[in-house]
Amino acid sequence: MNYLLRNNVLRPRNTFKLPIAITAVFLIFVFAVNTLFPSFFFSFFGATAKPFWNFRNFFLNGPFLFLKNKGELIKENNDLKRKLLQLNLGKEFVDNKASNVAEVISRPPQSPYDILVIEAQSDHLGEGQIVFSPEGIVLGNIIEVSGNIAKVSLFSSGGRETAAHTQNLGELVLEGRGGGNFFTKVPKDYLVNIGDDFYLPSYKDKILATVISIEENDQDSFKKIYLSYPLNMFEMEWVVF
Amino acid sequence: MNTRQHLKRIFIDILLFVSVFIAPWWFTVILGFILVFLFENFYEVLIIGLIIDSLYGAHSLTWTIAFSLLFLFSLFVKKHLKFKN
Repeated sequence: MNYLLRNNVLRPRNTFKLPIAITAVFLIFVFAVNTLFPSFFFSFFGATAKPFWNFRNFFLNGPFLFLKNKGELIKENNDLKRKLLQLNLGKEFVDNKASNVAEVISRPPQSPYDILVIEAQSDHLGEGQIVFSPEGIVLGNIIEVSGNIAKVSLFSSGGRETAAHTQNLGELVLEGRGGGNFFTKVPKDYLVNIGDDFYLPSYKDKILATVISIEENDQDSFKKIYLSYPLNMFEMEWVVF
Repeated sequence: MNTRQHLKRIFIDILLFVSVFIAPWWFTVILGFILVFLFENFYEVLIIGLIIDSLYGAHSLTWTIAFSLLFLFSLFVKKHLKFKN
């Protein structure tokens, strides 16, 4: 009579050991490097990514320009003139506080958080610098620099709290909601209208966000205010800082 | 793995690594999520998580940890799936 083996001796045991060990070593290595050299991975992968970003931007912006018709070329020419004008206006607008221009090489929705990657002259970039759009809208600040590229964390990053000022209400805290959006709550009797602008306390002439929607109901003694940058952050090509 | 499977994996790796640089983040995340269950010991997702955090994160390792957990989870899931060798 044949009996089945109690255990299948041919089946490899503990097949998880090696992958778990490799994952653990990988995580320890990443944590260690990230603690000792916080910008190492950004420098390394940023240098790797740059050719891809440049290629993508080049590809999107016009290697097939000769295939376009005259109307499209005129439209693009006008757009470029407008952008140039905006840049000049932006430089005047933020005159003493910001005068460097940087190209946006990566922007949402490519990044899961509201992070821009910008490219500029390396000696002009520094952590903590405030970044504006060419129209003079306050966007965020530089959080990491590596050579001539830098990471900009937008004030609208999810969960980020930013003190903001408005003429009617004084100072409030805006909470970032991602995708260029903000949220705050104010008592019901406060006067807020759609289209009201909020400013950073240190830059009271530069818009941070605009009220796009107000929500209130009888049960709640607060009203919810939804704000956003008054620009399309998914199409941002240049910033000044 | 035979040569054909090796080539397939190399091609998939290139696609994944290019996508993390040029495609929207959710595309790479979905691709990584699918591939980790399709291939044996797909360590590449660990690197992908690190790249997403390094390039687009604000001093956080959220995606590195998330992909590491996903990778470990996939090992257990694949072991208990009947159609998976």
